[in-house]
Amino acid sequence: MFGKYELNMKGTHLGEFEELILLMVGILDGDAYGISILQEIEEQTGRTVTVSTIHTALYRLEEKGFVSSYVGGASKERGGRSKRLYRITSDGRATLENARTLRDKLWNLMPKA
Amino acid sequence: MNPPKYIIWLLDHLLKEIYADEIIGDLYEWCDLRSPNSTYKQMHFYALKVLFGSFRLRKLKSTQNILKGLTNSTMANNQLRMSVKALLNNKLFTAINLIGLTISFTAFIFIYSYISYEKSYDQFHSKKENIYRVIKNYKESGEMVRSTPSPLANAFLQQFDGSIQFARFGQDPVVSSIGKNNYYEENFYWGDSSIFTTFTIPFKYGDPENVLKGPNSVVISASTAKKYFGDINPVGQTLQIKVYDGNADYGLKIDGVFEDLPANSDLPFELVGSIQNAFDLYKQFNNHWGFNWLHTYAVIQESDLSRIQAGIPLIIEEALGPDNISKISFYFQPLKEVHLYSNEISGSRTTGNIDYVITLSFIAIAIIIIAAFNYLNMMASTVNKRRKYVAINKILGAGKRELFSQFILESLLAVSIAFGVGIVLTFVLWPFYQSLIAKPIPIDTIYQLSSIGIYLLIILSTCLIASLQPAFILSKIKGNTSAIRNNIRQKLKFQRILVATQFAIAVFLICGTFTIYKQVQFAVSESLGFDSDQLVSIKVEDRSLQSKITDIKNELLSIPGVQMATLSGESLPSEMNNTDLMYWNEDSKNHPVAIHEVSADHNFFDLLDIRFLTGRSYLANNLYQENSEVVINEAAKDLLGINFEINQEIFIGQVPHKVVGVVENYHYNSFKSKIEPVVYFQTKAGSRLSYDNIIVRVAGSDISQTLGGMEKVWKSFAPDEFFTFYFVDQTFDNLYTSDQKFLSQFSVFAGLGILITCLGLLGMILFMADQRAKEISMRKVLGSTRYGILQLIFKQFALYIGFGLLIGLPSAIYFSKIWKEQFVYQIPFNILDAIVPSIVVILISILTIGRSALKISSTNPIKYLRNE
Repeated sequence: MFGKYELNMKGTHLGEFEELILLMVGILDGDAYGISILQEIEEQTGRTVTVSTIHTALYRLEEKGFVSSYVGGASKERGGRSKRLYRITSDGRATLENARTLRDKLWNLMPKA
Repeated sequence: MNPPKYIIWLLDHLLKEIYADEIIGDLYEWCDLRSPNSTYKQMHFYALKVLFGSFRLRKLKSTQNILKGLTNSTMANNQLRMSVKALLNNKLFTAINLIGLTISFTAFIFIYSYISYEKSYDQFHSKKENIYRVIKNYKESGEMVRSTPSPLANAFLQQFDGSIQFARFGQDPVVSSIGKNNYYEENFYWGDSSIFTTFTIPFKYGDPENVLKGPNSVVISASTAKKYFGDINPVGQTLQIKVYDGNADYGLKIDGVFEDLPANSDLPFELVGSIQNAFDLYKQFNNHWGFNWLHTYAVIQESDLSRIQAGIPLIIEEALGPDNISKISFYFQPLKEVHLYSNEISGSRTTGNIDYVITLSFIAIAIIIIAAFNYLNMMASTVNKRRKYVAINKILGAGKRELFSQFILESLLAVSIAFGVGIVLTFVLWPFYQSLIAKPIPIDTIYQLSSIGIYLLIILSTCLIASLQPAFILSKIKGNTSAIRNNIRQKLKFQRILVATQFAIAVFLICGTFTIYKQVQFAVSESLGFDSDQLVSIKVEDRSLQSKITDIKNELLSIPGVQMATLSGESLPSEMNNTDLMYWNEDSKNHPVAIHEVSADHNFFDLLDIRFLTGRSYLANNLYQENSEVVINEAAKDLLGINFEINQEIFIGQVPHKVVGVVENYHYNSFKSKIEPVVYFQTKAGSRLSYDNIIVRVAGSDISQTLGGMEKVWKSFAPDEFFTFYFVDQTFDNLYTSDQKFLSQFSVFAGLGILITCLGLLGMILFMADQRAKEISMRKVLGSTRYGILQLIFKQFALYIGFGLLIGLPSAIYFSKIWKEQFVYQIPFNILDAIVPSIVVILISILTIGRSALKISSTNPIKYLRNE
């Protein structure tokens, strides 16, 4: 039920965590997958998150059409499992920019301290 | 370092393929990344977090795909798939079945753990196989008594030294003082040092081999030690005690502290003082064979047992003379029987009852049978629906064996699911069950190794009961076109017997609950033969205080609200601790009979409202001595025969007395024990029989103020003593606590049994609605009225109910008769006991099937006929 609702609202809403993930996917530029995002978040913000939360956010972003994914190569340290790489779509980029504009606008309205 | 294998395995099997690689790969990489600076435990924890984080429905495979991945063999896989499909196909029936099975398994696990707990009493002693409790047996009356005389052990040791060892202990409530604090210790026992080598009781401080070796020593339980001294080791300290009965003070050196006895032990002691003190204190009783106060346990090798038993008459002869060989004997009760098989033994405080265990196991099995029959019925009902499936499978080459195992597998799956849910439910409901039976059964009784064997057995047998017959029928269907097209003519006889059996069990359960309820109610509410309302009993333990008991009584009378007060040597309910021999003529002199002795003040009968059959109470100044006046009860009068007359002379312990009155029998103890011959007389302080209870009848609205006044009076006599009192009617009710607990258990499980029967009924009627829809529609078209249809439906169920009543009622009445036998005084059988449960069963069935029956009878025939 909730999923349907989200699909209908496609493109209109971006949660805080989703925005963070989306930014990371953008920063990593084609090399974004669970672990690389996790490391990037830790490096940039100091937040610790579990892989599965990142996965969940990625699936949701993909459902909304903000990221696209393709299967990448397997390696020994992955136990021979292939990885799934994510890339930001133009839709995603536009949503990020929207969010940023909105935020800038609001910042300008804030009285100077 | 790699993530735990089982987590990978679970993820692999549970996640959809498109997610599995990504998640598992990331997990691997993460572990690789972190392994330099985390422990395995941290890693494991993290992997678990990932596992649970991944359990979002969208990421999971469908049930069928999971099962597919789990089974490698194509056939087994196919069979499982078909089983799941079959279960899902008939969602309603499956739900009814699973709910029924789950409830029955939950009930089973509860009852099973209760029973195994009851059986575990005192089974933790390493010498349990060789420990026996010595029971005194009065051969003529068949009475068995737990208390044994003091010289018993020595007499046995003289004859059989080396092949028998004794551990004895006897209760003697004391007040112990630590600094300024006084504690009343009811469970103080004098005991042999061998107690702690006979029984396996771990010690917190001290050495069990080396305690109570000399006089003036004591061993206390860990919780007592904590109460007295806190957490320090108290060994070597001195404990001041004041012995009420002996009117003596001792300083006892603490030899050791034993761990608290577990709840599943019947051993009663919390403090054990050296028995040598008791022998000094009560010297006059040491060689007194008539003074029974010790619990005696013996350690005997099995090979010596029969030899020792054969020697008992010789010991009796030496100690009590040849006359007593035919009267008194001793019996060695094995320790494993002490908890459950002691109801006949008076003074045994064990709470177990083998009858309860047997009844509950019967209920457990009955409930499982009802649920299994439900399953069987519904399987059998769907035979025709499955016919096509079977026939086509046969045509495609399936063998009888594959089909057979497929149906067995299907029910095994259902039963296992139900059992799994049952276990979870048991865990959830455990606290409620504990409070229902008021026993602290540890929850790990559920998953002991021995229990798991029983569980497997019950799962398999339920599965076989439930599916063997339909599996046979179905696998026999031939693989040809006629089997596809034509219905199998089912033999409904078998099914009918099943439903009738379920009804019989339901009737039995309701009727049983009803009888037990009525008997317990009867015991609680029936007149005791005296007026127990507003009676307060005060125990006077202290010997020196007992000498002032008349003064205390007189003082109490001055309190407003105290109507009357009297004195007695027995509390109410009475244990009847003193017994002597009585004779009344030459004939009976050679065969004297036992009679209980009670010292009671002259107004005792008046206060309790006990009626005199004939005669009067003794006079106030009449004290117990030669030729003094006594009162006897009806039971004693019956012994004297029809020639009895007032002022007849009787001899008690060879001293002549004059019977001035006979009182009606009254229940001085529970309805489970017989009213025995009793003689009443007045004594003065200091004798063995002297008064140690003040019984007061209070009146007025402000009971608590009256009690407060009484306490004040008490404190003026004994500033250091506790004022302990109780209401007589409450203590009488408490005699039936275990019966009431049993009643609540029985009725809960009976209720569950009936619930499952109703579920089955519901399934039956729904199935009938489905199967006979066309037939009923045709009947309606042909002119049958709604009423006629209802009649048709109810006629069938009436048959089941009638049959169930026919079998269930007599067996329930028989059970009630046996169950009531533990009560000497029973509520007589009333025809209503059979009618009321029958009506209840009929009403419940009508309520269950009524709605569906109405619906069937009022459907529009068009709905079912238009396709033809």
